Amino acid sequence: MSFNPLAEKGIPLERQLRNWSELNVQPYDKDDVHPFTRTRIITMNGIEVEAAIFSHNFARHTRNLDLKRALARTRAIEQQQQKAVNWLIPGDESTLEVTIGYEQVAVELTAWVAQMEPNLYAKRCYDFGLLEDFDHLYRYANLLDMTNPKKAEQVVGQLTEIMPGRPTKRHHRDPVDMIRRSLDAYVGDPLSALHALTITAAEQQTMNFYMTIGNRYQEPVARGLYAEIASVEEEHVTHYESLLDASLSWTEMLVQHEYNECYLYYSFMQQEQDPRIKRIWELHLNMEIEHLRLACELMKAYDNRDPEMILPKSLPAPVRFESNKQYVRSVLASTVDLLPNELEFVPMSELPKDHRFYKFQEKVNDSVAIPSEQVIQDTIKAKGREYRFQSDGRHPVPALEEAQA
Amino acid sequence: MTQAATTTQIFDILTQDHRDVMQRLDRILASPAADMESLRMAFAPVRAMLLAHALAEERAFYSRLKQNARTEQTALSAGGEHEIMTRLIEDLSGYGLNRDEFLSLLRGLADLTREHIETEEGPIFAEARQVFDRAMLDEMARSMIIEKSRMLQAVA
Repeated sequence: MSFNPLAEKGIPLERQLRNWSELNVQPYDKDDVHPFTRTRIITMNGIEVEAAIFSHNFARHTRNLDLKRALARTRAIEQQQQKAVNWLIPGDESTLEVTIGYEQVAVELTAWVAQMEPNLYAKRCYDFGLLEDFDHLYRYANLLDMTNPKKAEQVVGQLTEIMPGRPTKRHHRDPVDMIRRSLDAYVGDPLSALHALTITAAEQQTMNFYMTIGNRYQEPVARGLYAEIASVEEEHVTHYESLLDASLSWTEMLVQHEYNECYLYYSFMQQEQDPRIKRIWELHLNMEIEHLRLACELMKAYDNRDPEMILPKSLPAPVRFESNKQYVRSVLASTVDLLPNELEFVPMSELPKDHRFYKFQEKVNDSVAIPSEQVIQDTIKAKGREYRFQSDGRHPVPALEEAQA
Repeated sequence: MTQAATTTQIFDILTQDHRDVMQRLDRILASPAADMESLRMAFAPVRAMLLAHALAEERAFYSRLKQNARTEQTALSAGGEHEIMTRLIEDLSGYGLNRDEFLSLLRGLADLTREHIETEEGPIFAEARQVFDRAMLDEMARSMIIEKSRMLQAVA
């Protein structure tokens, strides 16, 4: 039966505040956790960070005290939800292992969204970003291989392949080419807006994470790799956020955010196998139903508009974390050589030789060691070969097959 | 604002917008500026008018049509045309366009807008007149005025 959060009754806001003990949750066991439980936790942390940051930005754009107070009340709960989710990650899981988890989110969540996306242009945008995060996973996996006895395939549970995607050195490009066409919330399928919000939040949190923890390493190659990939994640935020319909009012955007949180908690509650964490998703869903109701009240009061105009009639098919090896391989085989040219994507061979892409590349890549290349060379030097996990056969792009020693 | 909205039906507001936009588009095409910079400057206010009109119309007019079974398909089809027009407007912001390419895209946009207006002012308005009562049409008119003002800021 379809689930409509607008028709459900949530937990009243005044009963949602938790004490310190409730917030300081028991972390998962890193040797026992299912990789997709970890990815769901990383995803929902990003969603809750976005909820808090969006609410703060909304508050900074209004002089209305009633509105500021209403936002602050809900935000106090959203920020607690973020702690309750993010504190599930244990202290004995290294930053690099968590990083591998972040990239597994970027690969599998983006692959899922791309396959479900009804708007063909947005689908192309997801496929494009997918191959870049897929390459980041390979670069970080080599860093892990070089510095740690643990293999990245253990972290991702062999559910995600690890091999080159679109090479990271090609991700550095003039920002003009990272802007995309905007979706229209009143014209298109509402699912497209939910997808764009989800992936933007996930990429934004990845950017925040790398830009914060990238300097916690001593090895120059590790510091360099985080600096390089954190810069690409910033590009990705630009890429995905430009899909969002910026003509919506603040209250319309608030409703979209709260609806999306209901959608994701409901989805993950359906899929979660760990009963303790499933209960957290369920609790948060019941909180979000109330946040959504309050946001809809604000939209009706301040916009004089019916929230159902921008929302689906019921929740779309639940988002699922699952292995997308064949899909990723097909996108690799067909689009690895694409680069953005303004709003569209073209094969690299079609870019004119004087295109701004080459000027940008020259500025950042020429005459220096590129960290994302250096990490592979260093791994080969230390281990005799680079690290890959290819469970489904040879690389689909012959040029990216592993060089034989 | 409220007075204007209650005495002017939604159809008059939309029709007036159509006239203003087409007049400006035709003026640029009738005597196009010699260089790209001047062409872009001449197009800038039309771009804002057209985008704001389309976005406001989706919210104030077509969103109501979508909620009625008799007019739902009409609204979806018009939404598709708005998407194509928006895409053309975005393409006109292209970096690498030369003057001929710009004018060719602009002619395409003018033709599409003209066709869209003909359909809208003809069969779509007729359907809407049959389906909605005076109170709802007045509500749409009020909403269109508010939304257009908001959208002009959003697309600036």
